[in-house]
Amino acid sequence: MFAYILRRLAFAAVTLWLATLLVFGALLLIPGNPAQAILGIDATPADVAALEHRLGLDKPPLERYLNWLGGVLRGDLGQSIRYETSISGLIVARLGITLPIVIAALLLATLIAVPLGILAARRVGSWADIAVSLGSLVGIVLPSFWAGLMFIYIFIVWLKLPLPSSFPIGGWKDPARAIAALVLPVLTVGLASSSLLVRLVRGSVLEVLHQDYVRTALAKGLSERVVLYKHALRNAALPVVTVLGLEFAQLLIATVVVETVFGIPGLGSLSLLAISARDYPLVQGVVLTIAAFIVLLNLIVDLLYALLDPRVSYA
Amino acid sequence: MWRRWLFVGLVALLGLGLAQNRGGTLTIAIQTEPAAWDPTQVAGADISRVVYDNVLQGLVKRNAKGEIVPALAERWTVSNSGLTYTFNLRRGVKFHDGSDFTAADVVAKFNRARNPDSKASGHLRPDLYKDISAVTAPNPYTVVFTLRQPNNDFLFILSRPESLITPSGAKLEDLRAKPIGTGPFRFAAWERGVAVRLERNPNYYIPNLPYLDGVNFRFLGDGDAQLAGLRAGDLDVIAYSLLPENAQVLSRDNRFKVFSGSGTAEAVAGFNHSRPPFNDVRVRRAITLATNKDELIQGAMLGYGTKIGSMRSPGEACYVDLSNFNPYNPDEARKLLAEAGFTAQNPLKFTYTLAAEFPYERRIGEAMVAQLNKLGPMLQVGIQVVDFNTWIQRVFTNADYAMTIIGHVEANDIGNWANPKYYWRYNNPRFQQLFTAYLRAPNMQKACENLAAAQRLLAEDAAAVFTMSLPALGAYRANIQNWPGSSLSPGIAVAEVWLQK
Repeated sequence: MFAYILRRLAFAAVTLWLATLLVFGALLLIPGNPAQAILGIDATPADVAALEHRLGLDKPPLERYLNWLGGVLRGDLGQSIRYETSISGLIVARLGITLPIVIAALLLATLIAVPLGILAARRVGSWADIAVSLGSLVGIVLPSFWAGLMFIYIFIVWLKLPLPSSFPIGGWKDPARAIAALVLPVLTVGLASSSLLVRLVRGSVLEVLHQDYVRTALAKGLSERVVLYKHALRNAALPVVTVLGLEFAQLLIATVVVETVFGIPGLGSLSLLAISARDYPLVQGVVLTIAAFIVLLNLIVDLLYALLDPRVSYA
Repeated sequence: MWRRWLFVGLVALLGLGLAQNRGGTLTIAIQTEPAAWDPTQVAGADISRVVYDNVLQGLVKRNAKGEIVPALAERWTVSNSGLTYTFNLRRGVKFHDGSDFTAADVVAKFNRARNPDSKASGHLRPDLYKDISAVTAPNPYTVVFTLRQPNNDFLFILSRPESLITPSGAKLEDLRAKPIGTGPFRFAAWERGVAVRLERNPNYYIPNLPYLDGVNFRFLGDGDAQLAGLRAGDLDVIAYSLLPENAQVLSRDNRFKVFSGSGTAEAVAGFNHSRPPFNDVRVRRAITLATNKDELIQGAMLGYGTKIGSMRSPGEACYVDLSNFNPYNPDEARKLLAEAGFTAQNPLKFTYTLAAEFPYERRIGEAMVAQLNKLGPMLQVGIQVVDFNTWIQRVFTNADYAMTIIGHVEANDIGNWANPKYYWRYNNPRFQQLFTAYLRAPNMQKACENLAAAQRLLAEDAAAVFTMSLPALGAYRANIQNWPGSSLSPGIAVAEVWLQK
């Protein structure tokens, strides 16, 4: 097991390095220049050249990349070009908002999707099954920016619930207000991902229910309830856990839409700003962080898999 | 005797009735978050909107009507030759860091500004100050500028955001994240990605001002998020970027007031003059005549916006109304295109480049392309939407485009047409001559005559399609009093704004 984890970690490091290379190359190819973006269109070419010099952007790309990589290996993600502050500080602050959204949304999605999915699978073709399928279809096709705006309209404008429509100035200094500000984004993201998840739960429970061992257990006279909860669900959970892990990583970026609608300074909006400002080190830092999450979650999913299914070996 | 008491009583009552309430904090939505807050080091309309006359002040300023009025200079005199400007400074003014404001700060600032090496000075646009030959301080409260040649824009230049004054002792890199000035508010904090907070300057030199305890400028680019914020009570003001359809929604709600102020932003649909066929005036005129500006204002902007015909907005000095100079005439447009050699078999085809981030310009540009394509098979226009950074590089820096549209926010920016290297690549010696004549004219009347001729020349030449002067469209909570409204000043100056309780 230990060797397995070590091997996976080495693989992860190579993946991350490739990610940095890919991002750096992509940023060189897209047009645009951070100094001009900072100075605006009234700046003269001499102004732009002066700022490029101050930011070190007049150095050759390879040198900039190696400087940055050297910093990363020492645990320093460097300075944001646009904000002139520490990138790790920015990312940590943004994760402090986005992670709670993603975790709460996945929790909400699981709480909705698992019981509904099981219900639909046990009563295939019933009105409940049809309702769940239709509901999830609606949830999948609705764009989340539209759903977010509708939630604002319904809960804040119409029902007049005391929820802020955007993350408060001062942030977590006022925890009650900050949490209140995250209710609707969590609802928006959570409902969207529960729509995907409920179909998966239903499908995988159905598949397990048709397996021979379930039929055998039922034939032996065990009640359906016992068969379902003691045997079938554990196996049905395997694909669900995998998807939840991947979904988590995807949501870190997918929140960008919801963060825009709700004015939330999270990782999604930071990545958007970093790209539109051509803030190269910041883009690299954000991509590296997200890649690290994906790698870590894959590792956790693999380990969970092994726990849930003894047939998986570490070889 | 009783008459006197009655008078005193009446005055007291009147005073009570007019008394402005003190206190309260406003949260104002602006569209973008600048990279820094010192307008001498970084350009950007949203920097000025926040700091101009709120945090930082110059010798003179532009008020909400766009007039140049005293700020840190109480008064000034200009010599008959137009070459010497003498400013008498306000006394007893302190910067937010506690240091005294004196003539030495002004001299240091303008010596830095006119240093042609912006790499060394860290000051933008030394070109603006190149007519200054010396800045001296005969005493701590007098500053004298000596010019090389007369410049009718000199006071205007001193009212620009680049001319705002910071303490001569302050470190430039510190000012980028925390500007220090003499204004009614001091810069309290910048929460990156969220907002900037300003708080009342208790030592402001005008007694009783400002009325508010503080102001937050919140960065919210999305128009619908702004609307939601106003309705939910997170925002008090949408300062200038309200979407026309949201303005209609809010104007039916008596909790809010919608305003559409005049501005200095011309939405200019520019041609690349360095490229055929746009070096042909017939083609430029054809495209101008095929553009229905009234329909653009009604259709794309729901009536908000003012028709113009040249590079100037109605609120600006020396404005000439040329809005009906090239009226909509598709038949004439077809004729001109045919004269220029375009037919259904050999159509004029080009791509119109739009920057994604600007909601007004983008919708105006899209509607305009639809109008142009109505002209029929001899004119075929495609759309390319790029992000602003790409726009800056391709269009603005490299002039690698055919046609584009952008709002020119800066006041009095007609001089860009005198610069053949500007992204339109418009090189007309007659225009350059007129603009210089305006700058050097011995009095304002002569200056305006030349500027009027310059405006007319741009219209005759169809140098661009000057579609409209963009509105300063916004909304605020109904209890807010004295909101500036118009956008003729570079700043959203809130010193005199107060809340009705």
